[in-house]
Amino acid sequence: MSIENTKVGAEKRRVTDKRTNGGEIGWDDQSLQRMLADTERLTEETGYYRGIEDLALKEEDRFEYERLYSRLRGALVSARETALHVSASPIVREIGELCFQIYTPEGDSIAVSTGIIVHVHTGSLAIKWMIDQDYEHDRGIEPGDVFCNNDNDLGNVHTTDVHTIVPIFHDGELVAWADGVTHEADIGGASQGHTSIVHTSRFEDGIYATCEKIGEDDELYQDWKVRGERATRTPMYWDLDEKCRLAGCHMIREAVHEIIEDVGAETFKQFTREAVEEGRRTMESRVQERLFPGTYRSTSFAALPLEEEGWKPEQKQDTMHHLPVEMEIRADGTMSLDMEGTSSQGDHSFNAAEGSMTGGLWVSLTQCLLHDGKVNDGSHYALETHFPEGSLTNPDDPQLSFHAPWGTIMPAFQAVWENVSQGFFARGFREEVVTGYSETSNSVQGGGTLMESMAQIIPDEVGDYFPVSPFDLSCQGLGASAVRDGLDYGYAMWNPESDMGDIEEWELVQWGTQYLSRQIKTDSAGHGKYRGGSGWEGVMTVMGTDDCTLYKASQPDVTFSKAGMSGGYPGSTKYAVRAHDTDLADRAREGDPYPVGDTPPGTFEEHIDGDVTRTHRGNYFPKEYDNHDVMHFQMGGGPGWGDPLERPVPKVVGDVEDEVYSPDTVESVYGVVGEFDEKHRDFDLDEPATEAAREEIRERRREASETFEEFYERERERVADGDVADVVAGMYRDAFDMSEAFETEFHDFWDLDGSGF
Amino acid sequence: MAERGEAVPVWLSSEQKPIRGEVPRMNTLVIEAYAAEPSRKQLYRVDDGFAELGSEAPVRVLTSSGGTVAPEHDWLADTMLSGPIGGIFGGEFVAEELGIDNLVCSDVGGTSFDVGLITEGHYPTRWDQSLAQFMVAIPMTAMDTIGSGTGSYVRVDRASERIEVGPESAGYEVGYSNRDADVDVVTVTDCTLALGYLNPESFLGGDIPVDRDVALEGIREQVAEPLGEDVHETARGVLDIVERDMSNELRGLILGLGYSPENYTLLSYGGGGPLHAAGYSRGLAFQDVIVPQWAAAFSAFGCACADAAYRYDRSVDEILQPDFSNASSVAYALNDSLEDLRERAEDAFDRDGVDPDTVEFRPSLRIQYLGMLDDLEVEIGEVYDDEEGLSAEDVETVIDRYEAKFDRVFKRAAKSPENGYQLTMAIGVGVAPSPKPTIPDEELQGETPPEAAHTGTRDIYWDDDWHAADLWRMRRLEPGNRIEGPAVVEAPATTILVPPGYDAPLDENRIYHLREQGTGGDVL
Repeated sequence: MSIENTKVGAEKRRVTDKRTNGGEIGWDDQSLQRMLADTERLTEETGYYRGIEDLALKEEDRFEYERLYSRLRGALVSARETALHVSASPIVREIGELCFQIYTPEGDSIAVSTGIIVHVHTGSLAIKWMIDQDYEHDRGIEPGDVFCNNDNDLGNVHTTDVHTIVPIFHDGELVAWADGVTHEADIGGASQGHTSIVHTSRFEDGIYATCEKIGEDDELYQDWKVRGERATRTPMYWDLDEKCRLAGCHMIREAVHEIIEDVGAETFKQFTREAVEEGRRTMESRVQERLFPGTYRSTSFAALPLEEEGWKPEQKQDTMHHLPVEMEIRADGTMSLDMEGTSSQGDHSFNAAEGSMTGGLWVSLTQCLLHDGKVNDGSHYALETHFPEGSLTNPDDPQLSFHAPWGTIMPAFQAVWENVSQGFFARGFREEVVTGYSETSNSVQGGGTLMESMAQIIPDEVGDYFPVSPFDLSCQGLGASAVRDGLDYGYAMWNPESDMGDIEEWELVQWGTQYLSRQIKTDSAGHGKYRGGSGWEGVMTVMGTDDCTLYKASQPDVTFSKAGMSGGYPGSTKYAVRAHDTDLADRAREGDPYPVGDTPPGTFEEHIDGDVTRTHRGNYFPKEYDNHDVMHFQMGGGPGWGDPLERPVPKVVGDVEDEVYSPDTVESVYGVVGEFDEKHRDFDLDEPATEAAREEIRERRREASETFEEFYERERERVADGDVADVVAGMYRDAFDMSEAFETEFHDFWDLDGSGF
Repeated sequence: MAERGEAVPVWLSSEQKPIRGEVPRMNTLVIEAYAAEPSRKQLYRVDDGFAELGSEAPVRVLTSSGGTVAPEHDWLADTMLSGPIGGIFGGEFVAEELGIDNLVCSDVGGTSFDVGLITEGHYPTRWDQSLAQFMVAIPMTAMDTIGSGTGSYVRVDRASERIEVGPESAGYEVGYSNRDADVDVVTVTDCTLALGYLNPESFLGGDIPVDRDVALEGIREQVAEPLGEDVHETARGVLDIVERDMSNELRGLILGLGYSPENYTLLSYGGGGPLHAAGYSRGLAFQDVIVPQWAAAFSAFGCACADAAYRYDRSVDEILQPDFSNASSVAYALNDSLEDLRERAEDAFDRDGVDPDTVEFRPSLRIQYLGMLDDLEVEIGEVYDDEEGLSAEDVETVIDRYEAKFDRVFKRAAKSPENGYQLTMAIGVGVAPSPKPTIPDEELQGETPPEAAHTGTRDIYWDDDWHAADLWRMRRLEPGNRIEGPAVVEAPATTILVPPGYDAPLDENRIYHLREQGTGGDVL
């Protein structure tokens, strides 16, 4: 398709002429580099975005301004809605892992569509990097060009998020950038899957597009397309998702052209800048409205038990990551987020670039503070962040693997949410409190090829490979608030709109897998006066395949990331059970029971004969699955809020009847005693026994209580003697190596005089 | 159950609703057993009641996909949620009668703005709609809704200094200005009242006492003063936001189908549609904007336009190779399914006592490129032979039609014929024509409306200024009359706003054509 007779073609001729005569593509014949430098300088000097003290357009005609905003955002949302239909991958289509952004020429986001909002700032980093690298004079930025980035170090969340970036020109000037991002099912790499926990370096991660020009004249380069076809395991999804991103970016470009035609380029330009400044102000006034000023601290931990599972020598160790978060909320509405003391980067796939961390920040703040959808980079300017260089949250080595940064983002943001929740609570907004969430695992991933007899019906172009990456993981338990229980099996931190999808739909895509069940995972919800949302479990088998490997990424694994709040418990940790070389086929033939879960734990084996592996660890690296091998997986529960003894007894009875908790558990945690008739789902409460059990729990607590001084002294001795697990001591030693400030503070707090680890 | 001596009704979704997707299928089954089945007795009672009153016509119920079914229908869940989409069937009828190919049906009610598109004479059917937040496997006429209606609350968000409209609504309580209600927050209706568009004396025929001064005071206190703006400018600004949201919705839907507004006529109805039509059609360059005189009851009119129809669907999942090498076996499998669907539709009419010769069978297929997840419905009536079904060549024709539709709906760049095709669902609809209402066809009178229709003037606020608008009583206006803006045409249940610079001729079908002067052609 030629662009010669299109607006883009005319723009291209204009830009070419201009460049030939030594002109620049920025506004008023400035270079983009100059625009970016001015923006940074003016913002720094004045405290207002680009020094915009007055929102002249908004003040002059507030309603016209609103119309423009709603028109621009409407264009992004409708581009997303339309482009969604083009994508094939269920991750994009069913789960909605697609988002469009529009940026100023210097790369500040003006508005974001619905979808995975995590990308407010990621495209911004990539655009700024291209400007910094002088793409405008060297590689060239022209109407009809198409750029691609998935390099986390330059602006992305994880490598399987792939961005398509298109410049929008008007009258020889670059007026904006459109950016579309989708989450790919597979980008090649050493192991299958979209979030691999296996990789140790960049060289295993798969395709990297490092702010690469992948097309011009609105068409993708042939060599780029060939690369996608040959370098991913799911070339069809790669291709269709790319078409989806490009189509959406072009729709946004058309909408911008229409808006400029209606209101004029000057108004449009002024509007885009005021919108960013307005975003900054809104963020500040929202903080002032909702949060109590102060300094808030919380720490999350993430275990990475790879000593037995690891493949490469450098990854074969059990480690734990230290993720401390200090937030300052100031009376003027500005905030800071500081992760000084974070563990170092490493030879694993959990490295989270700065872009990943800011992604986590925006997806969090849009849920708890900025829910009106009018979020943009202005909010970014209202918040300072410090992710220590060389740490897990801001690696300085691009050769690391960045495939599974969510394994760092998710636990880290549990601490952010606790801080923000304390700020809400202190201000009296109990409803806004969220104790945290179950991190989105188990993530079941892998892939395989169909048996020859099955593969015949699949057209050659599609191939006989099937990916396994169901988004069951997008339905976790949400944490409780300070007024109600958390949402049961229905929440994903990174995209609250997502959904687990129908089994029958997944089986259509994952040809070789069959689900045997999905059911509530009893005892997964964190306890509390308000309990966390419940998790669930599933069982899957493999059929009709020739060669299938599956693995399970699990978090939190052998430790909790964080406790609940105000006496609430965390949700349960995860574990793994699988069976190979089974008698499932015989059972199916005979009509005998097969495993539909592992509740209570240990019952899975009762319904299957074979080689059963059960580990305390939740994750395992890719294993070969033969036909009729069986995999168990589970989604976690959210943390609770408040003392479980304050939970009204009728609610606890309801929890048992709904299979959220087992009778044994409610007796030991809530002191609620009775007989449960499983068949009729009827819990017969024994009131006197309940009263006695609760009193006994209180008595035990009274006996175990001690003063803070006693507690501190006892713990101090443990720290001084190094009486902690080796993995924990190693975690602290690494954090001390990373930060002298953290080491000094830790030693001062525990009054160690050089002793301890 | 019979063997066990138990009288337990058994529903099998696999037989009655063999549609992929276990959650929506299960939800639908539960709705059928729990909510729809009990309504059957109610329908019989209604039928008996009418019979006692001397009616000979059987009671039929509208389904959400567009036809009517008898109370004996084996899957009454199909009739859930048919009310709000009645307007779309009315739109289809009007489009056919007046020869309009592409029509946007838009309804502004108290709580929402509902839109349905009729494109090339047909409205699409969707599977992904939900019922009271439950995903269901019920084919539904595509209707999109946003939470902006005449009763939507208007608030200022103090942190962002922005006006927020809806989605909560005062609904039937109308607004702050309603002295009989206990509404604390101003609504969109309060703004239309403040600007002079509504007649406070005759809101809903005078049944609801609204007070313009109260509306103005509420807007001033709750919205204008916090923003430091003039009260009338604020009221107009609120309507701009609401109407812009509505236009965005229209634009997005039309572009999403691969068309542009220039390809469509806009039909506006509901109590609030004609009042806001000029606002939400602005800047979209529709071919025509039409308001039937019976706009307030248009959805009910639409329900009466439906034919008797039984629709049956079945997931098929046939894979067609890109070179059509297996087209005959695909045709064979499809014919098997379509034949089964046809038999079921015929059985239903047989039960209703309808002569099978009067029943038309309309088959369709849903198709996607293999690996894509969004299928498109392709009507195949013209290639399907009632005796022979589809041949291998017919399958190729069907695919041509699918590709043409794909081009339009999605972007051409996404076409992927190299992947082959997946035929996902077979659909069979049996249709028996039913008596229809008639659209008025009256002789045209002069352009000047009769004096008796003129009830005075009222100042209205439009484009930053006040204008003296002529007030007209709708039922006194005659076909051929041309209402020149600024004017307000008033009826007990609806109001047409004809802003300055617009006119609205009333045609022989008693349909108003709202035109921005200098843009519209001569319609009379």
